[in-house]
Amino acid sequence: MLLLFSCQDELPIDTIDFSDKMVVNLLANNDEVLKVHVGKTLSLTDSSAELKIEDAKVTIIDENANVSQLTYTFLYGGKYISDFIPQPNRTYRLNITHPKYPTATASFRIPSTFKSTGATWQDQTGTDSTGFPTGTISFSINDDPNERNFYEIALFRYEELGPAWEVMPVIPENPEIAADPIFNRDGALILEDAGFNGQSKNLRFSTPFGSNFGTPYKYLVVVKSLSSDYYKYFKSLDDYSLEGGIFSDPSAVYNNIKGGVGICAGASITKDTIR
Amino acid sequence: MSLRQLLLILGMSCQVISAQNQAVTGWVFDEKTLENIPSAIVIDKATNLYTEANSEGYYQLLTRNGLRTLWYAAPGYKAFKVEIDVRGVVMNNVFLKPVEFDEPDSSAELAALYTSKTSFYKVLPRQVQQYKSLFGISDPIKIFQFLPGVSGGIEGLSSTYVRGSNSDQNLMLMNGLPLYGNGHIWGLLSNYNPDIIQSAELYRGVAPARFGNRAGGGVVDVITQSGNAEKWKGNINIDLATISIAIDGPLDKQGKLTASFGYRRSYLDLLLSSIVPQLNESLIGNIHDINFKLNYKKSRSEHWNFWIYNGRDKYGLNFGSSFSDSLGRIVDLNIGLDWKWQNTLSGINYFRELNKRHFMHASIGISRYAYVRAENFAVATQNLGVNQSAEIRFNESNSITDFNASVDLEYLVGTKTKLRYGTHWVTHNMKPGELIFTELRDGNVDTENKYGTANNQFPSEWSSYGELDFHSDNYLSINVGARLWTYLGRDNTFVRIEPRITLNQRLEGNKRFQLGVAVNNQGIHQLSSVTGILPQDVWFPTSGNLTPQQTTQFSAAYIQPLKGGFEFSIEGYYKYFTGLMYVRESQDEKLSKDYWEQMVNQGTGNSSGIEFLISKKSGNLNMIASYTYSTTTRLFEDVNGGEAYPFRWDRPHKLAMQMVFQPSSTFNINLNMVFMSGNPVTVPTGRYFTVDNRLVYDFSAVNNYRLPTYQRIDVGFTKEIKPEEHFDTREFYGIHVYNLLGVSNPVNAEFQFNDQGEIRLTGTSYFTFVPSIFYRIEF
Repeated sequence: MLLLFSCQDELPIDTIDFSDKMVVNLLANNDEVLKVHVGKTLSLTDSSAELKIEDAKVTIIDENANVSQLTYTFLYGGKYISDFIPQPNRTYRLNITHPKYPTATASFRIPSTFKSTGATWQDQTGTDSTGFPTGTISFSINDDPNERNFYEIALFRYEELGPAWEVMPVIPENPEIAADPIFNRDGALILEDAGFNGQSKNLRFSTPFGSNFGTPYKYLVVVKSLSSDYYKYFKSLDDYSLEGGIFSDPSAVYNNIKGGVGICAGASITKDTIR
Repeated sequence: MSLRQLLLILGMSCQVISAQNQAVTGWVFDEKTLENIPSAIVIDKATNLYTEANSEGYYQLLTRNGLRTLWYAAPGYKAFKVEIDVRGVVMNNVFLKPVEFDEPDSSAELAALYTSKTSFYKVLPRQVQQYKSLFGISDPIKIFQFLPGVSGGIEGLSSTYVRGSNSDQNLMLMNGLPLYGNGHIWGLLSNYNPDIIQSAELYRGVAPARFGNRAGGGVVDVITQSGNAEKWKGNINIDLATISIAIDGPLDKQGKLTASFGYRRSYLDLLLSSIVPQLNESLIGNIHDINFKLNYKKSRSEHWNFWIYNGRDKYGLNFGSSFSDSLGRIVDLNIGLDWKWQNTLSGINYFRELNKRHFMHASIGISRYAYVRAENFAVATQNLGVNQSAEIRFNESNSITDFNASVDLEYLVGTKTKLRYGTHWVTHNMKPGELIFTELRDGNVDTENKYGTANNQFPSEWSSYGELDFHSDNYLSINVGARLWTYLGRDNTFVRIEPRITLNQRLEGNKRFQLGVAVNNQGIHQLSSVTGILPQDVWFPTSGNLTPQQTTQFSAAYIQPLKGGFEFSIEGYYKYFTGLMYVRESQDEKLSKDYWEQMVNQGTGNSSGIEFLISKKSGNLNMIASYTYSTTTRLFEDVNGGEAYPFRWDRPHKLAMQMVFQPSSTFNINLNMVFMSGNPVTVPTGRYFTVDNRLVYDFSAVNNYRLPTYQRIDVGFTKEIKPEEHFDTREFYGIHVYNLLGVSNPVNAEFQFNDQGEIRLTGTSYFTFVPSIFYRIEF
């Protein structure tokens, strides 16, 4: 019936601001130097590849007002890099200027390093869809009740033939997490403490049949403590939708760059090996 | 005799003596039908004492001894004056005459003067019948949308947004029970069948403490007919979409037992299947409303009623095919798609005068809303006498079932003070989203997976309230009350106090000044569509880390009567919301997942506005003309960079007029006009690459584009057919044109490429120029 009485019209677009902006991406951690990507937005009709800005002035200001200028390198796909590694529990401010664009600013904090109880692995705790036995890696997170905490969990197994650490799929067994897991580009699980704030949360992950081949087996659990911006960004990437659904608006990617678009967020890394 | 017993007897004696000195009690009836008239006003003008009859038409007025002149007034009825010698308790039942089409409605004026209600509008049954909307349908909800501060969301639908509130913040009542559905045909018409409505009221501002839970936005309080006690009467109505019949009358000679029945159904499916019989099995699409009410006036102090309502939408498509495949097997293929949603409500009400000061209304009831979408794919083969079959069934559903019990009491404290108090209990059986996926082989279930059951919960809300209705000698009426709201959820319990105050000061020349303050809490939430309320919109409880919704509202109004029965009002309001919902994800199928309360954000919002209203409810011209200027924003930590943005249904300017001109008793003209700001939507403004090298759209801000101004003019008329030839029946026909000027009012905006490869922003509009015809017979 709606189709019967519907029609389509062109709408005016003179009120929409289509001017391009600076795109800034920085995911910082306490394990490496800062690598800042600076580009610019494309028009809606532009299908070209990413447009980088190589002549911007990128500076970092720490809590003591020390200013460091980052230098552009063609390494890492073309990024501005720092000559220092950011420290946990410190806040930094990012400032990017370019004559063609408004100044883009953002700040990020490297959270305190995460302390987990020892991770363990148990074999033959379940079966997969084809009937093969699976194991379980489990460890606990002692969540800080005084703040909202976010985590990124990645699992690796040691491949002796490499020899190298190989990425394992992260398959949560906790039903409340398995219901709607969020993964980043590398397959790591992104988690917030909304359901276990201030508690000791036991996390369990299924290991596929055969993951313990090689004697002795060896697993690596890497847990990142994420800033809220870091979590929101990956959560928004998971939720991203242009069209929107029946229940919601189009879902945009999280943006915390003032004067531009992109992400500037910090994380601290903790590693735990199971043998 | 103990002291306690002595005090008890003394207290009772004082009450009896006091009551015997000054009470007038009774029921207010319609003179023609002998039906009870709800909310009539009884006034002793000399002393400025007055009272309001309750929803069953019962009143208790404490006044002074001696010869008193009392006025009885109910909008739509002629005000009635009677002199009563008040000595002790006097019982006085009153029978009011309905106002004729061209008569002034002095009752409306009196009812407006003697009240403490603010931002309140009562629509008369006659108004509902005379107003026509899309497809020539009458709908009280659509009338309310012409009031200032009230808008209807998407074009043509019956969603209601009141003063910046979400659509789930409206308490929609039918005979006191909450209604959850959005209406029929995706909201095209509401669940309120206009043919059985006795009274329809809207509080678009501060509602008294007796209304709770979803009362933070608007309160729509509809009471259905209890039945003519004199004779059987009825009507049949046919418009472009529905056909309805309504009858009511007495079941016994004394008229103590009366009944009313209404049935409304769409008929397009019947029409199509009569033309193409094959469609009968393959295409399903119909709606219905069934209302039944049984009213029993057991004695002068005791009334009962039982009622039931079912409103259902059902749509489906069935496709079957039989053929031989390349191996010579006979293959039967069947595909079925079905959507169904329905509201079912039923209640029992018991009204009893406990004594001359005390009146009780107790009720129990059930209210259920259920939505089901089912898909079925089946294939069967026959080969050499061997039959094989396989079938896949997909069933998605959500439902909310309320079990309600309430007791409301009214107690006359003194001549100028009435106490209302009571307690309401509701247990919600909530199934926000269930998905059952079944595979069958040869008729036997092979696998069955069920999702979403972890969300099923049984929260309860328990509220107790008290209201003190006070009116002074200097024309000040105050309703001060509070509601103690308790939410008993799976994970948390919330206890909150909700203060409610309304004040009405009458000034010189019957001008009035009103103030209102209210806090309202709501334990259940609805995941509403951005394009209006849809049938699949689920209700879910406060659980886990979610908190209840809370609305705080302040309002002030100035009202001035004008010449000729017109009334002008200007009203300002401010509202603040907490605990609002925002769905973080777009994929609605995720609603069938467990623990999905994790997928919503909670935030705040505010709304403020100034409203102008000119209204007239009597004589041969009835109208609502309103202008609203308002701003409404939302603020969520994780949405729009944590900055406030305009609400999807924010429309800063809204100018609306609804008018019925009736030059004679056999003819009326209907004119509706709406001009309002377009609502904002979100459109992309550019594209960029993310850290994981995905090309995504930059929306710059939520709701960053405002759709063009909404404009609509509807006109129509209703005319009686040969009135001189009919005695026991009256027949009417009419023509109505919705959106006469054919203005496109887009409801969305999306970028598309045209044939030349150029990008352009387009919007889809519905219902541009829809003429309709209707017919009605009253008997």
